[in-house]
Amino acid sequence: MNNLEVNKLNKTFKEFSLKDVNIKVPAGKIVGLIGENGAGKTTIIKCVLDAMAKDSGEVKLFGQDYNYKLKDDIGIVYDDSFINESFTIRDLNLIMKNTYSKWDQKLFYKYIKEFNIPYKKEIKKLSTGMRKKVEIAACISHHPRLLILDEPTSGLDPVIRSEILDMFQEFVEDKNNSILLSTHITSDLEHIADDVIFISKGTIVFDEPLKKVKEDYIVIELDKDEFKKFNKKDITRYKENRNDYQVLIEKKNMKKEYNKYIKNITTLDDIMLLYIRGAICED
Amino acid sequence: MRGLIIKDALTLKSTWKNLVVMFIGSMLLSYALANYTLAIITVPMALLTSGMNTFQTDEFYNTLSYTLSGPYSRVKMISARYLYTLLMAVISFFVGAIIFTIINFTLNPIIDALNIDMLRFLLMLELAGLLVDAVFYPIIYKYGCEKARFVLLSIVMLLLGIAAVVSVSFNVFDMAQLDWEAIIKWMESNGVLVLSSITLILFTISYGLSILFFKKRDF
Repeated sequence: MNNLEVNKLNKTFKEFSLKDVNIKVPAGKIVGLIGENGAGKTTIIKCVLDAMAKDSGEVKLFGQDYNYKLKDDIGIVYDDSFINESFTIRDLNLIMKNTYSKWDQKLFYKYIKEFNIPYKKEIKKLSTGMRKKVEIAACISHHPRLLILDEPTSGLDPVIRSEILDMFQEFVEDKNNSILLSTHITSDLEHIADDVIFISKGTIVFDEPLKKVKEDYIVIELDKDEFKKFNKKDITRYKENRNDYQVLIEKKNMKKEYNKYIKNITTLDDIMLLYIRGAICED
Repeated sequence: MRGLIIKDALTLKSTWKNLVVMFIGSMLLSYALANYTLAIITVPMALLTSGMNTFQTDEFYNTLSYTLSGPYSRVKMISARYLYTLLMAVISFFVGAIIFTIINFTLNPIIDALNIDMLRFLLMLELAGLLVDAVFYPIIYKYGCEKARFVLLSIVMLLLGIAAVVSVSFNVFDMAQLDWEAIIKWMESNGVLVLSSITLILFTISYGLSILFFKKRDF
C-alpha cells in the first residue's frame, strides 16, 4: 500500500509552476525527494498537507482520498522551527497531547531524556541541534505511519545528523511506516533512502529506486580532446569545467571503452548537479 | 481544537510579567488621578487583545504552516481562534470584575465618585473589544499581520476622510446640535443590548469572512 500518493499535482505561481507531479511513498520505504533550491520540493509537501491550495491533482493518504483527519497519522518536520520559543518541553507536550489522538507522552519524554534535553528550559535556550531533536521527537511521538520531513537535517553537525538518520531508519523498521524525506543533502539519502525522486524546475526528472539510479547513471570525466572525439549521442548531460568535462551517461549508452574515464563513484549529487547545471549536446 | 486553544493561551505565559507591570503602573496612575477606571480596565483590555497577539506570534514562528499540516481543517483553525477570543473576553471580564471588587472594597469612596455602573462599563468595553477583533480578524486572515496593519489603517483613513468630506459638504453631522445628554442616557439604558447585538452580528460575519479568506491563503 502507498502511504502517500500524489497524482497529476499542478500548482502555478508567477514565476514557477509544478507540472503534473506524481509521487508514491510505499509503506516500509524511505523516499528521498531531491532537487535544487526552488525546484518545488517544499511546494509539493505543502500542497500534500493543505498548507498550500493546489490548482489541480489528487492526494491520497493511506489509500484514502485526502481528509484532514488522516493527518493524525502524519508526522512533520519543516526546515524552519515552528515552536514558539517561549514554550518549554512541557508546554509542547501539553499542546501535542491535545492535538494528536495517539500522542504518547511516555515516548516523547523518553526521547527527550535520551537527547538530554532539559524539560523546564524554554526552547529559545536550546541549541539548534537540540531544537531539531525536539521537533523530531514531537513528530514521532504520536505513532504516525508517515513522516514528511522537509530538510530535517539542514544546519546540523554530522554527529547529530547521523543520530537523526538512525531514528528514521528505526522508524521504517515497522513495515507499515514510511518517510518522504526532502533534502538537498543527498549524502544523507545515499545511506537510508530506498527510492529517489528528483525534481527540477517543478517537473519530476526521475522517480526510481536509489540502487537503480546509481546503476543507471554514470559520471565520467573527459579532457577537452577526449570530449571532442566522444560520441555525443551517448551523452545525457555534460558540464564544461576549467580543465575538463564532466559527462553524465545513462547505463544503456555506456560502452566498455568508457570505463577508463570513470574517475570517481557516481553520487546523487553528481547526477543532480549535471541534470540541473549541465548542458544537452546539440549534435 | 483544544490543542490550538491551549497553544494560544500558552502564548500569554510570555506576557504575564508585562501584565503585572501594566497593572501596577495603571494603579499608580489611577491613584494620582483619583480615578480607578484605568486600573480596572487595563489588564482586562490587555487580555482581550491577546487574540490579536496570537496572530503575530503565529506569523513570527511560521506556526500556521505547521498547524495546517496537523489534523486540523482550516475551518477548525479559525473556529479555535474565534473561540479563544470569546473565552478571553469572558475571562477578562471576570478579571476586571475581580479587580473592580477588590478596589471597591479597599477604596470604596473613590469608585463611588466614578458614578457609573462599572460592571456594565466593563461589559461594554469587552463588547467593543470584540467588535474591534471582528473587524481585524478577517483582514489579518486575508493579508497576514504585517500587511493587515496598512490595509486597516488605509481603510480607516479613507472612511474618516469620506465622512469628513460628507459632513462638511452636506452639513450632516452638526455636533453642536446633538443632544449629548439624551444620547448618554439612551446608551446607559440600551447600550449593552445594542452593542451586544452589533457585536454578535459582526462577529458572525467576521467568522464567515475569515473562513472565506483563509481558505485561499497559501503558507
